[in-house]
Amino acid sequence: MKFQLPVFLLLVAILTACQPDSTVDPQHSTANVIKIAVSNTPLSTPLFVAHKKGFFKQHGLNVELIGHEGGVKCFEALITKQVDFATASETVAMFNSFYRSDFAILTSFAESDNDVKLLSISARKYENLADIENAKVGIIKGSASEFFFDSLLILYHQHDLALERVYMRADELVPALLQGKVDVISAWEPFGYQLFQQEKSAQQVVKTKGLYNLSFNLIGLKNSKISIEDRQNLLKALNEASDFISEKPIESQLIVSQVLSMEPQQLRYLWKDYSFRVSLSNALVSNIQSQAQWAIDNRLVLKDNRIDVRMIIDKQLFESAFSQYQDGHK
Amino acid sequence: MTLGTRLKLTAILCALLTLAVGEALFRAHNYQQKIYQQLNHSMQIQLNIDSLRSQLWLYEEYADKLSLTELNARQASLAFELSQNMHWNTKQQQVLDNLNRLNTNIRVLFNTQQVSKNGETPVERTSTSVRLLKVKYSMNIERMTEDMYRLHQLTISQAKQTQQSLLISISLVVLLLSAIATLWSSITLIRFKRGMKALNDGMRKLAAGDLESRIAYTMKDEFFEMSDNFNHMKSSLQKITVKKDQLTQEVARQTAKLTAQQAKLTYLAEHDELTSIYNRRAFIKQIEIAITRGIRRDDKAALLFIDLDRFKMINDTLGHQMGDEVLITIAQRLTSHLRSSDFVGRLGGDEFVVWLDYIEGVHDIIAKVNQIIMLIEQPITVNGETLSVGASIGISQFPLHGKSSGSLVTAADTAMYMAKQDVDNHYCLFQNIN
Repeated sequence: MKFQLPVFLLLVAILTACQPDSTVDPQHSTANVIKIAVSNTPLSTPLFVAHKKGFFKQHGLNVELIGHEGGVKCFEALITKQVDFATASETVAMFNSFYRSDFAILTSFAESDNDVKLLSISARKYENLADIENAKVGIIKGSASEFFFDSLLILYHQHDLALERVYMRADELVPALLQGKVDVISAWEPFGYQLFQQEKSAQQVVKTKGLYNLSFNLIGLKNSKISIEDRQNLLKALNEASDFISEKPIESQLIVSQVLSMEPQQLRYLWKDYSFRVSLSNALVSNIQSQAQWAIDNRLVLKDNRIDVRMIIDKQLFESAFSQYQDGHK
Repeated sequence: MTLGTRLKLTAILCALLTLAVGEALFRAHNYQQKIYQQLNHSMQIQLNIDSLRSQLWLYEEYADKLSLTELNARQASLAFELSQNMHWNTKQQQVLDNLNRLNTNIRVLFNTQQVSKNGETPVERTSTSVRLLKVKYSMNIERMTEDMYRLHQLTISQAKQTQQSLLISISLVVLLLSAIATLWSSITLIRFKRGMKALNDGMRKLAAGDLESRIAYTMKDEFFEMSDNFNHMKSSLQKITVKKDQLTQEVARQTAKLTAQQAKLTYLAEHDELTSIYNRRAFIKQIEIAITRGIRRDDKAALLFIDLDRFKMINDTLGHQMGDEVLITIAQRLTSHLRSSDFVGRLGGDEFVVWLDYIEGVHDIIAKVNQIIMLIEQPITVNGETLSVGASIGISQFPLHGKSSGSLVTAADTAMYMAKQDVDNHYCLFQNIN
């Protein structure tokens, strides 16, 4: 009995000493503003959420998001050093990899397996892909739109099918289809949504969910002035944002619809095809590789200029960020 | 609160502690089972993915209906495993949903092949299509592998977290309960010690003879009752002791009374009732003591035998009462005019005897005798009447006329008788007779 008090105190002391230090080190802050060019699409959700919910701040990052229309413009802002990082699809990265090797993909943070669709308004006419023989197909040249269409033909063993490719700008696709200038269009979102809104009879020619994967990535310059630690923290913040999106999809959608002034209905339509996950796997390498091969085959790029895809993927940073993260937090 | 209640509560606390530990162990066991099942199941999913991968390779090699059917079977098996409820949490479920989605994507991918086969266009597998198909399914398999890694991580991190929170909550509950039990037992111990000390002190005081003090114990427990009883016991004991003291005092008082009575009796036995001087027996005894002392010291003394003259007449004419007053007055005069070593006694009637100690010469004796005669002859006033008596005195000397009381008294009596006969002298020395 006499010894219970000292034993109890000892236990308390041991327990206190063993408590892990769970603070995230919020004191560490960078005076420098980290500028990120963000494409105005729901695929950028993790960045909007990380910004809005303070995940960047929690990691001591002072981040400024600068909205751009599309990944190509974001990438331009990056290489002209207007920003420190950019968000873009892997297709943008692929094309640029033929001309420069001073950038690297830090991570992929969003994916859609149903972003590009083959659409028509005369559904009965096309019950399977072979039926589009001799049809006029509206395509955006040298883009995901054409890559998707070609892949589809190849997978269905229809690459020799006789048809007419009508090249046009992205914003011309839907009007062209509605005006009957083309029979089928290969269009990415939000044009699919716009078409469904305008024309009730619009339909996909074949179900293509899962046949083409669009990824959205965070891209930076290799000789960036941003420290490795901050870059690691950026990835950690995005990872936390992804977890948040998984846990609270409704709140996340609300944030995005506010930031992009997008109708919740449209967001819900897109959301079901999205997967938000911070990753940097060989799947991305394969994806870029196959697109690069396609670009070469279609003479969209100079054949000899091709670089190794692995050179534009910063796997080391990704692994260091998360191995450290796991050791510290899990 | 009584010590019994306290001990009961301590027992309840200990029982609670035991229950808490039991509950914690039970929960830990259940949780371990769940984790084990989840890990086991995720291994099962992994095996299914591997099997799917190998079937994809087979399909790539043969690209026939058989391999396609088998592929479908594998996919169905994977879908079945993914749909099993293993109490996944939200995050885990999300990963599983994604795996399901990837599985569906693979299905869609191979459906393109199936449609082609059933379609009218003859199948012509080109290297481009084979390559693209391979790239596509590899991407999906790669993502599946990635997802499986994530599932493992989630499961393990969840296990770790839950274990930690379980450990913390168990530690808190057990610590809290044991702290309360310890504190409670300590308080009980202190109360017990205090009670024991109070009782012990009370008993020690009682053993030391303190009957006055009482145990002052205010806590309402068993010791309060015991102290109360002890105090009652002490009160009773005190009352009994007081009675005994009173008894002792009474005995002492009675004894003193008896002693006084005894002293009075002794006095009465030795003194003349009327005059309060020695009676015959006591006077004789005193003479013998003086003789013994005189012999030892070689002292000399004289014995006077006094017989009052005219007393009989007073007694007969004026009454016994008057006679008694005369006797009392004479006795008082003799007593007050003798030295402290001398003594006087009444042998009866109007006969007095005087012992003069340390007296040697006859002259001294005669001087004293004359003094005594004058003393006796002084007038006595009784009830307004003046009376006068005289005296005839016979004198014997020690050791000249004997060394015993008897011989000395007889000698003095004889001399007195001679003096009575002599008209001229009121006294007579025994030696002159011889």
